[in-house]
Order: sequence, then C-alpha cells, then structure tokens
Amino acid sequence: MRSHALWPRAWAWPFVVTLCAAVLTAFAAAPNNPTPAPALLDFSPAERAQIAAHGPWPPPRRPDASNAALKRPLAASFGASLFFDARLSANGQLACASCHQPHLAFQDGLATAQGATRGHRNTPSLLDAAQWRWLGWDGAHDSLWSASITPLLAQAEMNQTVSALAQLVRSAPELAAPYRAAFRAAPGADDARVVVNLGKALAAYQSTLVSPRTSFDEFRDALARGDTASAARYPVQAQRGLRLFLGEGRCAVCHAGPSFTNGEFGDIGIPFFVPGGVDAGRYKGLEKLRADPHNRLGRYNDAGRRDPGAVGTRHVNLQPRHFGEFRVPGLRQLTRTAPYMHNGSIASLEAVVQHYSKLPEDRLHVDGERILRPLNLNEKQAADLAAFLRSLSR
Amino acid sequence: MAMAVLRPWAVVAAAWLCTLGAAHGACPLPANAPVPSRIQVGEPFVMRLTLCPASVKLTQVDATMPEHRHGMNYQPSFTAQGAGMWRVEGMVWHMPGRWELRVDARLGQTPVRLTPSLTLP
Repeated sequence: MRSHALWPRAWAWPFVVTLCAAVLTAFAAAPNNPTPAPALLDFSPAERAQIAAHGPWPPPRRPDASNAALKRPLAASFGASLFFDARLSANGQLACASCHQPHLAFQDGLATAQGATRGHRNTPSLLDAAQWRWLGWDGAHDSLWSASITPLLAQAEMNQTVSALAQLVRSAPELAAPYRAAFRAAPGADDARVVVNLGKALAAYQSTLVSPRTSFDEFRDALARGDTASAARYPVQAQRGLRLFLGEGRCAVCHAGPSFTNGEFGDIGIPFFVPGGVDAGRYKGLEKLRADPHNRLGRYNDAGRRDPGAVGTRHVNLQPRHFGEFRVPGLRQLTRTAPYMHNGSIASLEAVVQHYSKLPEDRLHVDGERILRPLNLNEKQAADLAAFLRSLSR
Repeated sequence: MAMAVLRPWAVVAAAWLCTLGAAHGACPLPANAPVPSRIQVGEPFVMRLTLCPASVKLTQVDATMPEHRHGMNYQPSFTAQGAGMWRVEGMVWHMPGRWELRVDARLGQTPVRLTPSLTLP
C-alpha cells in the first residue's frame, strides 16, 4: 500500500496553479524583489553532524515481529477499511477516523478528544506511529496493534465489547471475508483472538502513514552531500532557528533523531490537573502497560519470546519521577496538528515557543530534568525558532 | 592480591566496543572513552562486559546523566556467559550528553564500582 499522501485534492489543483502563477507575476512585477538572497550559515562540523542526525527521511520502517500481519498487504487493506468503519463503535457512529482524521494529519484539531464522552487528552497524530516504541501520551502501549485495541473498548472512546466486536466480524460477510484473507483463517470462536487480529490489521494500515518530506529534509540532505548551493535555498530564518534548536535551546536533547523525538517521556511544566483529579501520565501508563494482556510479553505476540522489540517492555523501570511525565512528541507536520501538548492547552506554534521561553521552573519536578530552564528568547529568536519548526511541515 | 579488571570489550554484534580499566590501577580507566557509533539516542543496545579474573561477580549495571540529574528509564539485566563475560541487556540512553556508567561487581567480599563516563553525541 502507498504511503498516505498529503497533497491537495485533484479538484484543487487549478486553483493552486492559478495562485502560484499570480504569486510569480507579483514578484516579477515588484521593483525590489523581497525574497532574501540564498545564504548558508557557517554551520560547524559538530552542528552539521547534529543536523545529519535528524535524517534521512523517511527512515526504513521499524520492524515489528510481534505483528505478523505487517507483512501481508491484505491485512493493511483490511485495516484501512476497519479504520473508517463506524460499526466498530458501540453506538455505530464513531470510527477510528472520527478522531484521527486524514485531512488533519490523523488527529482531530480539538484540544481534547471527543469520543463517546469528552476525554482529557489531546488526540495525537498517527503519522509515523510505526516508528514509536511507546504509544499514547502515557506510553501505556508497546505496540501499534495493542494501542489500536484500547480505543475500541474504552468507555470514553468507542465503548465496544470484545464479544460484540468478534460477533460483528463473524456475522458480517464483508468483514469476515477480508479477515479470512488477511489472517488465512476464518474468525474463530475465540473472541479475544479476533479482536487482537482487528488491532493487528488496524496497525498494518497505520504503519503506512508516513509524514511527507519537507524543506528541512531537502536542506539536511543537501548539507550531508556537500551541496551548499541547494542547502542555501533553505530560508535563513529557519537556519537561525535550527541553530537555536540544536544549541542554546537544547531542544534536540529530547527532540532527537529523524522523527524529532527520543521516544521517551518528560515533564515540561504543563499542568496535569484534570477535572476530578490528576493525570499521572507515564507513571500510570507504565502500570497499565504491565497489566495489559496485549503487551509484548503476553501470549498475543506473534514472535513470542524471540521478539527483539520486547526488550523495552522487559526492562522499563517505574520510577516516582514518571508521575506527570508525557511522551515527547515528534515534530513533523507540526503545523497540521494544533493545538499542542498532552492536554491541547497551547493553541499555536508561536505560543509553544513562548512556553519554552518563559518555562515555569517552579512547576517542574524537583527531581526532574535539570537542564530545563527558560530560554528567554527575544522577539527575533522566537520568530526564528518558529520558522524552523514550521519548516518541518509540508 | 587478585584484581578486578574490566578487559576491553570483545563484542561486535549489536553491542559496543569500549575499553574499561581496572579498579586498582593496573588498566587505567579512560576518562572519556569513545562511544561506538552503534549506540543511538533512544535505541536499546546490548553491552558485553568481560571481568577479570573470571571469579569477579557482576552485581549491578546502571547509568546516569549527572548533569541532568536522572538515569535511564530502564533497569538492565545481565547474564553470565562464562570465562568472566557478561551480557547486559536493556540499556537505553535516551538523550545525548555525558552518561556515567556504573558497573558494580564483587571480588570475593570486596565490592568494586567502576564509573566510566562517555559522551553520546
């Protein structure tokens, strides 16, 4: 299956072409071309190495031995149809795609999710989800397929039951047939196994959702191959923001690698109070992970004890400082995934930059990350950093 | 007196080649040993330790980031491979920067701790 493309729809192309032509005409007519001349900052060898570490993009798909369905195209196509099927919810009105909307980078644009009831966390984008070791803001899941099962059954989300889901698949020929094709067996009497396979088919589809390449990727690749002319086409403002991101801002300490996340968890001073209590984040997520029969140490792992991906689940360590920590999100396609943070409490990219500029140190864990401190950015620096972050989207 | 020595790493597969030294000066511990390129931020890796003499018993392995005031989010496990070799699994260094490895071992009744520092780029 092809990766999901984020291009304008076919009907929009005439308008896009017209708009581009108008913009070109306007620039040609202007007496003084306002476009800054291409330039390349004097990145040091160390900075160049840091920049190179944020690519190449897209990376090879991370193998997942726990889900044999990933190797079967028919499972991915079955998963795609399930993803948009509202019959998977108890009220027949909610599909996975109701919250993970393709035109919104597979999130919903809301501060907090609206399933069967209102949730207290922001719906994360599913782009690049196959790259992640931990899924969910609290990392309660260690595979994409187990993370796909929970929303089906959660009361606040799709509110289904294992038996109802299994019965639906067995009784609906248009579901039973592709199930049989994907898993080489008809949906059996073991309800739990049928639902696990639904999760694995959904994961097979979601693993095809990959962020498109961006202007940053073109810059990074040009710099890596020594093509300074091409690298200089990357806006200077974004280059300055990148330098800040890597250096003084120390953003890359957590937002590392091609996906701009180290895949772990942190407390950056976002309140974790929710109506009626607190959201314990990673601390509770780890407790849920350990109790989950669908984790990689359980019987539904297709690779059993030979799964190399289980090493994290086997060794992860529950610590008090995990309380109130949330997953470090990737930064690709950021401009499409507002609002931001685990509770959707920050509306814009500029406001996110301001959050880090004025970081509330008194809110951070006393035993937390010592290097976090307010960046105290001036107006130009804040604009530069935002320009760099925007360049991670297309 | 017998001496606890960490011999050079001998692992090639999915691991890390590094030289660790002795607790008592026979093989000086490098102040900042090179980090093999196989170790990537946020990715699990396997270490193989060789303890000398072979009677040295490994008791714990951990790593911290002193400047950040935290350690790993994982508790490594280890298994004896024979002839003083140990396989350490579950290591994840989730940030670039200086990591201080803590290798605790026991030579007879004498506890030994080695704390080499390595900087992950």
